[in-house]
Amino acid sequence: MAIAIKGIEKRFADAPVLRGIDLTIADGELVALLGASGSGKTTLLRILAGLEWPQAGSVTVDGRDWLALEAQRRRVGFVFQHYALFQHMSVRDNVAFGLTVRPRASRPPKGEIRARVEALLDLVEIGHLANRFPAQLSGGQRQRVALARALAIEPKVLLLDEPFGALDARIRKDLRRWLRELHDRLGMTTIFVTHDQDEAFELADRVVIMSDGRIEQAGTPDEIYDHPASPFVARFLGGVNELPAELAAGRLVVPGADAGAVTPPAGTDGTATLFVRPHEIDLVADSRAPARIRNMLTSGPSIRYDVDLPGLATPVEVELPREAARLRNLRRGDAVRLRLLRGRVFSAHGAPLPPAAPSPERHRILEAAL
Amino acid sequence: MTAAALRIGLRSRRVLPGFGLTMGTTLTYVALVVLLPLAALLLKSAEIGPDGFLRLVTGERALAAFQVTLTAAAFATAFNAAYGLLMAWVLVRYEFAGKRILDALMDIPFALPTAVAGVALTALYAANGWFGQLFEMAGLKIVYTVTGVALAMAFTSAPFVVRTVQPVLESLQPDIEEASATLGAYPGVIFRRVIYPVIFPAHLTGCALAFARSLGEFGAVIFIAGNLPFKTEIVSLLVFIRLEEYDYAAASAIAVVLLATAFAVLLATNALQALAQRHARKG
Repeated sequence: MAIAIKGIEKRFADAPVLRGIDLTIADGELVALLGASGSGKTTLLRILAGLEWPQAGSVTVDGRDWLALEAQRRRVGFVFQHYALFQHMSVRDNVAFGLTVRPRASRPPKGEIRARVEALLDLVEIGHLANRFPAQLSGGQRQRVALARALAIEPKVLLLDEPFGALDARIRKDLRRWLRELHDRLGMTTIFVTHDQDEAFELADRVVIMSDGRIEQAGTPDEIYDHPASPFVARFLGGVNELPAELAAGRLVVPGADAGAVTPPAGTDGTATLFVRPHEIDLVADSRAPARIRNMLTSGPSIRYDVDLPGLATPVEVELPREAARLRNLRRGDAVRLRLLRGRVFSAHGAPLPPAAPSPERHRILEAAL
Repeated sequence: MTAAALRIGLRSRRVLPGFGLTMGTTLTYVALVVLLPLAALLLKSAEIGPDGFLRLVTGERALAAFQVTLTAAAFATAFNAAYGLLMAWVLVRYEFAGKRILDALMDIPFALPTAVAGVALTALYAANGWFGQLFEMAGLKIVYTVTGVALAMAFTSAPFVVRTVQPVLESLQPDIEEASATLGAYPGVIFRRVIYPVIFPAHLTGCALAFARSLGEFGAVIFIAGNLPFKTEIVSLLVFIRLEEYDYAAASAIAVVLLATAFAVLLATNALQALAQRHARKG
């Protein structure tokens, strides 16, 4: 089901939660709504499910106005953050609920319901737990029951609110892969809400980053990672250094660093900020350079350096692959020059400049390093 | 099990001390205030032997009193089952002005001396009382009938249902109702299949307590009942009358039956409840 969301605005009392959301989702797409708590992502999901109504905007699904439909008639599979299982029903009855509550005319016969529930329980790999009650299940098993229950109504759209939020890290990883396979196999449109960046990037075809009731950026994980649309997104993705820079006559000048490899963006001259990730910086020993290595940390496959740059309050983080680090043979207190291989430049006024393209030199350096 | 728990309690170290003292005080209290009088009652009625006992409790007047009491208690409980559930629902589900006052009012029947309640109800529902006049016009007599007895019982036992259902309703997570809605269930079905099964055990407990209380209600009932033997005389009044006549054997025999009935109701309730809550067991 293709979903078109236009101009959605939602206020609770007087507090705006969504301030104009426009988003189209293609049929069969797996989309992550990513944002901090309070960004409005869950509210958007609830509006799609028919559990909240916006004050303005429209939701059209395959040409039908969805805001005119109540939750019961949208046929949306919704998996709640805390699963919302019926505690007094067995797993089997929980899964069958969506079928047994249908009016008699459209309700499948008992045998068919039973068969379908069995098939669903096998699909989510908990066939052996059919007669248990939710209180007797582990978190991961409850999650599967909730999913099977949502799938029982053969939803055209599957919505999941923080699907892995309440699970251990280990189970979470397994379930992620499994959910992706399930989505591919069943071919419905799936939207899930998460605050976990790894989860969104690993699982989704497209990630929608939300903040303060607005969409900051929507794109494939690669697009967002390589070309963050705003300083907010660059910061939100985390693990990034912010270096003050100067744009002058088409050249990018970063005090204390060599930015020659970063293709300067076309744009107005003036002050700007360069966002550069730790692994996009190389270190070269240079006794005349102003930067000093403050600290070194080994994290298995790579070495992390904290480099003090004059004029910067926080040290710049640099990450070199283990092999490259061995070749550089740097020690604490050494004077180094920062070579920036890649970066994204935003002008000081916050207006995003066309992102810097990766330079051929970067690949050369990386190849040499490895 | 109690003995085992005691031994563990004495041996293991706990964060809060005083297990021995608190447990001892509790058991002493239970023995003195609850068990001893009950034992005395049972002993007294045992003195008369099984034949005498049977004769006393199946006497015509006693049987009539049992019938009046059980019928009135059943009606009062049925009324409270519905009204108490509704009241708890309103108090939990909606926000409105004066909600806290209404909530506090729920406890009035407990706080009010039952005799005061009885006098007030009698005044209101008497043939010349405010409500009594209206019912009179409709051809309904309340005071000095079994209806009046049931009314008094319903008044004094109403809080049991409200107060047992209320916390369970409050603890219901809204997301299970939302989940039901997304699965295609409409409000009626959601109540019947999702909400009521969860509050059922508490509702049952409330009703059982209300019924047990109604069986023994004395103060509120005797004013409105008229106390005509064979017509509107309740069991606890009959016990009182037998005591006044120094007929301790008859009084204790009838009292024992009343006690057994209340006990059986509570026991049956617990069994039903255990059945209804088997899903909560781990394992």
